[in-house]
Order: sequence, then structure tokens, then C-alpha cells
Amino acid sequence: MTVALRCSDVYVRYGGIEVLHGVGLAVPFGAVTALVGPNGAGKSTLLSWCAGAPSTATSAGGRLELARAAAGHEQLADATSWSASRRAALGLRLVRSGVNVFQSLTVKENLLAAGDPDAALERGALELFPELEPLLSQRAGTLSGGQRQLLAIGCALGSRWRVLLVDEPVQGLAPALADRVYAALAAAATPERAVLIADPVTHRAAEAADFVWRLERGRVVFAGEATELTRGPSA
Amino acid sequence: MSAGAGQLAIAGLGIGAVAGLSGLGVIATYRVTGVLNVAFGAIGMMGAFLLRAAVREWGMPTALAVALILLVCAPLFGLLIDAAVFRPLQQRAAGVAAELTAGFGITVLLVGIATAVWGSGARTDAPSLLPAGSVQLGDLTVPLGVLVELGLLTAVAAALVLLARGRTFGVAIRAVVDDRGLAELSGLPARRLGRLGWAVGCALAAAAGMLLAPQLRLDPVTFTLVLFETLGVVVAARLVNPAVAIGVALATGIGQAELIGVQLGGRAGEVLAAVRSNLFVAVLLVAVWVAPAFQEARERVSILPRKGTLAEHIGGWWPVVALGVAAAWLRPQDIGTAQLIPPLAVVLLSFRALSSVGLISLGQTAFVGAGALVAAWTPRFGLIAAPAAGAVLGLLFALPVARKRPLHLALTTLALATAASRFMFEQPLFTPPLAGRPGFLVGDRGFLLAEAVGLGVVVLALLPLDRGWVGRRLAAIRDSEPAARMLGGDVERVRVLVFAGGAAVAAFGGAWWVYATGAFDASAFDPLRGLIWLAAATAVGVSSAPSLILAAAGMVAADAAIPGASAIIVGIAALTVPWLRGEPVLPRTAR
Repeated sequence: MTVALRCSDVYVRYGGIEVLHGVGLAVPFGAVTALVGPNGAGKSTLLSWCAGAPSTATSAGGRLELARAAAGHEQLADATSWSASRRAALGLRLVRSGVNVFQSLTVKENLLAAGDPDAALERGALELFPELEPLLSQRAGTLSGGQRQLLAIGCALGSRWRVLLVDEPVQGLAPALADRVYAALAAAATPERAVLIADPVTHRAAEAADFVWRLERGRVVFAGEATELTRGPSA
Repeated sequence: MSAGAGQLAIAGLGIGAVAGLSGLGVIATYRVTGVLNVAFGAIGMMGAFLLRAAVREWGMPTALAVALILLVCAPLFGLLIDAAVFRPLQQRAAGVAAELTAGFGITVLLVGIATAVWGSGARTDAPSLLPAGSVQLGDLTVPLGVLVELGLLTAVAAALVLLARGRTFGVAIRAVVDDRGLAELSGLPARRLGRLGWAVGCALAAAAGMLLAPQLRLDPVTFTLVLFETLGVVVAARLVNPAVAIGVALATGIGQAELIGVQLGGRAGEVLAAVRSNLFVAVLLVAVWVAPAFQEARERVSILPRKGTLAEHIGGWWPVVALGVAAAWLRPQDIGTAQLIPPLAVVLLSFRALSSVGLISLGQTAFVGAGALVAAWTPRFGLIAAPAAGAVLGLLFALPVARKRPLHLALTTLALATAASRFMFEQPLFTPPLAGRPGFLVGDRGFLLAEAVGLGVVVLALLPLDRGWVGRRLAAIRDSEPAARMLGGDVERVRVLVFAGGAAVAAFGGAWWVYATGAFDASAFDPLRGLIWLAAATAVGVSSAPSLILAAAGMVAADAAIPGASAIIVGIAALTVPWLRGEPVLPRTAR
């Protein structure tokens, strides 16, 4: 499978505490990859580092490679020094947990801001999550946590993305809705697109994923196919 | 309205239009970057000086010089400070305080450069950009220049509004304002918009400076402050609303002109004259109290200051002891200079008190000056009366705005300092006679020793801020106000008390200051001075008492060697030290 994103030797320090110790992972096109591990393992930090999000880390480093089409086929480009904007321009999207929508904008404006202004509404979020339709004129800051989560994922899926990093996608969602979100993410992983989901609940993520990376205390302790993990003792 | 009043109103429209243009520049930058460009006054001053130099000294045609400054120099400067200063700060998730300090660092640097190149004297030959002549509208004579200024203001405002309302561009701008980090992660052109905001903001600041210069005496410090005082129109507009900014600017300009027609005698006349010449300051003062909460860019977190080590706490005493020893050994001619160190150190330590709950003060000069005034008027009890007065003033001014967010509170302190400077310190009514020291402090060596003891008392008083039960309570508020509230803390009351405590410390410093200098000098408590102090405290790290005391010593020594040198050093340090450290230097500001 073609690699869409690869990072290696990633370390991040907050003050005197190193939370990632030379971590690496690879995310292929056409598959859902899960990043699992207990709270505090460094999953969110790794996703933020990959996306180039503003950080309060005192020091961070590593190597990031992103796939980009060149001469008809995908090539990995060194994106380590690229800004978040440039990574996003190449199709890398991060859906953070917590504050992940533009709160002073309406739902419709959020979709417009994130997506293709001509077709986003028809093609993207509303098809996946029709419960957003009656909320279109409502400010995103007034939505419930679950609605905001849907909007954030809908915005990302409705945008022009190639590699989607989602941090705890079903946090705060009812089980039925969580299943739909996971189904939507799994369906989104087409041969030209890659999805990486970070989730502290290993079995839930592993069931939806093709590949799993497990982080513990800032180190990768497992990497392989999801079926291997679900069969193993640590699942 | 009589013809006379109408004519005055038209005259006021010109000043109002320039203030409006300056305000639109600040709003243009803030809306797409979330950064309040407090350097706009200095940028306008630089634009005015450049135009004057290009036309009067280098013989360049006025139109060409204006085009070069507006379309090349100012936008390029905007791109430069975005790339070199503000963008790196935002990438490091630095907070409001770090951005304000950087802005003041730029201000101090530009003022220093202008002073070094063109001198500190006032110039009166700035070229006018406006056409001569007038048109008659009924009984009123309207200068063509005013019409041009109003036309320019309208055109700029219309362009900004059209941009912000565009379906795609407008939503992108609002998204960037809402959450810049998320906008970048979403692939929105946040960086391009940011660059555009800085370029347009700097060009408009330069335009305001060039238009205003022929109407005033052009000198680096005063002209910068005059432009800076128009910040009130931006505050009234809650930093984002161009229509309100224009309305307030024009109304203030008209009000200022109309007051010329009002004549009063005696003290009332003096007060009226002060209000007339400082009406924009009054607007700033009213605006910070009356304006609803700003739509501030989402608070960006920054790491807490590292906790002082035991060695550092012990080390906090050695500069104090060194001062005491110096009292015995210094040459008589150096003692006068050394006496200025403890007062400044006390003032810088007042920022440490404020930072313990994440507060920023842009206007400590108000409390320092008030302390100096009280001490000068009551020489026998000044060292007690000054901090008491500072604490009362602090309480009075903090109470109404305790719930405001950091940027709003910071601007409130700046407004207070500006108003105190213009309406109190500079007024002959309040100026005390020569400030005599208390009888037991007459000898110079004894006075320096007493100052060292006073400084030691302040260091001691501030120790609980980062240790024990008090330190933990304050750290909780600084770290997360909502969480501190959940633990049952009265966050507002603690913030007000700490603010009052910081004001008391600053006023205590003011008392020592006036006894050290022997006279009350209003220029020592100019708001710009307070910004330099904040920048110095920020550059060396507000959490370290020894660093703050050494910074005071360094500033006094620099000014003794070359007058004004400390401002330039602090300006450079404010821009470079946080960058060299690679981390935010101020604690997270309270949310």
C-alpha cells in the first residue's frame, strides 16, 4: 500500500518532561489506521505535531513525510519544516478533540470555511450527518458537544483532504451516533485518501481500523494489523 | 447650530478623519491576526518622518514619496514584523502579554531610531498632502483638505467592509479571527490574510501619520503618543467594528473643535483646556470602562513560568545586599545615580505581583506617579501614604473591570495611565513644590541604605506569591480561572486585591523615586515610560526578583552613560530575548 504520511524519531518536550520519545508511524492510503493507547500516552501530541498545530511544547523534533502526486504517482516529500497551512494545502487535516469548530461562525459558515464553497453543502457533511441541517443558521458555539463533534468531522470530510487525522472522534457521542461516525470515517478511506484515528478505547478503534499503532508512555509498543492486536493479550 | 459652531465642527472633522483612518488600520490588523498593533503610533510617526525627509531633505516629489511610503515601505515593514516578530510568537502559542510587549518593543525601537536619525527636536516643516482652497456650502466654508480626508476615510472603510462581507473571503476572515490555529489546520489562507492585515494596517498608520504631521509639531515621542491616543476609537469599536470607530473618531474630532468655542475662567478654564487638548484620552478612558467585552482572539495558552529554585530565592537577596554595601563604598558622584536603582527595581517588582494571577498592566506609571505625588505632598509620611494611596487607587480602578478579559484589562490600565498623565501629573494644579525627604533620610549614603532596606521589604512581601497556600491559590487562578472557581475561590476578589497590591508596590516605588530625584517630574511618569518598564520586566522574566532588580540597575546605568539608551536596549531585548529563550516568558494570562 502507498504510504500517505510517515513520521519518524518524533520527540516532544514540555519543560523538563519528554512526552514522546522518538516515535514513528506510517499511515497508508486506502485504509483506516488507529492510534491507540491510554490517556497520557501522547496520541494527541503526536497528531498535533504531524499537523504542525501551534504548540506550547518547549522543544520538539522529528521527521515528517507527506505523499504528494508527482509525475502521475505518489512521492513522499519531506514536510518537517512546513507550516500547518502548507501541510493543510497538501490535504492534511486534523480534527482536534475539544475546541474544533469556529465558534462565532454559524454551522453553515463553518461548512463554507472548511469546504469547497460551491459543493461542500451538497457533497459533504450534510449527506453524512443530516441532523446538522436544521442547525445551519445556529452559531457553532451554541451547539452541544456531540453536535460540535459531528460538525467538526463533517467539515473535515467535506473539505479537500487526502490525509485525515482525527483525535478521539466519538468522544461525547451516543453509541449509535458513534457507530455512524466510525462508519463514515471507514468509508472515507478510499484509495486516494488515508484516515488516522486516535482513540483511547482500543477495541473500538481496532474494530474499525485496518492497522493499529499502540502508544504507551510516549513509545510505540505495538504496530501491526488490527486483527493481530484484537487477538493479543493487551487488547 | 450657529455658523461659528458649524465651522468649528468642520475643522474637527479633519482631525476626526485622521483618527478614524488610524483606527481602521488597527482594526484591519486585529481582525485577521488577533494581534492589537500597539506600534501603530510609532509606525505613523515613522511614516511622517520619512515623508518629511524624502521631500525636504532628499528633494523627492511629494507624490512619489507618498506612493513609496504607502505602497512599499509601510507594507514591507508590516510583512517584516509579521514574519520576524508576531508570526513566531503565534507559532509558539504565546499569549496576549507577549504580543503587547513585542508591539511596545517595536514602538520603543522606532522612536529610538527616529531620535537617533532626526533628533528629538520638533519639526514644523512636514509637507502637507492636502490641497489648499475651500468650497462654500451655504454659510460654511469647507476646506478641500477636509473633504479629501473624509473621502479617503470613506473609501478605506468601504473597502474593508466589502472585503469582510464577501461570501468566501469574509467567512475566511471571520474564521481566522475566531481561531487562527484551527483556520490554518483547516487549510484556510490564515497566513496570507495575516500578511495582508499587517501590510494594510501599517500603510494606514503611515497614512494617518503623514496627514497629521503638518497640523502638529513633529517629534518622535510626542507625535507617537498623540497618534497612540486615538486608540480610544478602536476600543470603543471593540477592536472590530469600523463603523463605530469612524463614528467615535469624527464625534471626538468635532467635540474637540467645539470646545475651542467654550471659554471659562480660573481653574475651570484650566480643566477645560486640559480636556480640550486631551479629548481622545478621555474617550479612551471612557471607552475601556463602557465598551462591552471585546471579541478577543481565543486565549492562547502558554506554559507557566518555571518555578524559582531555592538558589534563586536565596539569590533574590544578593542584589539588595549589594546595594546596601554600595551605600558605604560608592563614590559620592555615583551615589545619586545608584539611588535611582531601588525605586525602579520596586516598580519592576510590581509586575511580578500582577503576573502572579496572570494580570498585565500597561499603566503602572499611573500608580508610580500617584505615589510620587502623594510622597511629595506629604514628605513626613510619604513612604506609608504613597502605597496606601496606590492600593486605594488600584481598588477603585480594578473593581469595575475585574471581570474583563486580559487585553481589555491591560488597555484599561493604559487608559488610566494616559489620563493620569494628562489630567493630573502634567497639570500645574497638582504639581507639588520641591520634594523634600523625611528628616531621617537626608544623608545620601543613609538614603541609599534605606532604599535597599525598602527594596528588601518588597522582595520579602512578594515571596508568598509563589509558595505555600497563597502561592498555590494564585497559581490555580493563573492556570485556569474556571477551575479555580470550581474549587470555591473568589477569583475576581483575588484579582482585584492583587491588582491593588501591585499598585501599592508601584506607588511605594514612586515615593522612593521622588525622594531620590528631589522633584516631581511629570515626564518621568509618561505612559510610554510604563510600556518600557513592562517590556523590561517581560524581557528578563517577571518571576525572577533578582533579574528584575538587575534589570533596574542595568537601565539606570545605561541611562547614566547615554541618556535614553535604556529605552533602545529594552526595545531590542523585548523583541529578541523571548525569541532566544524559545519559550513564552510571561505566565498564562487569566481567562
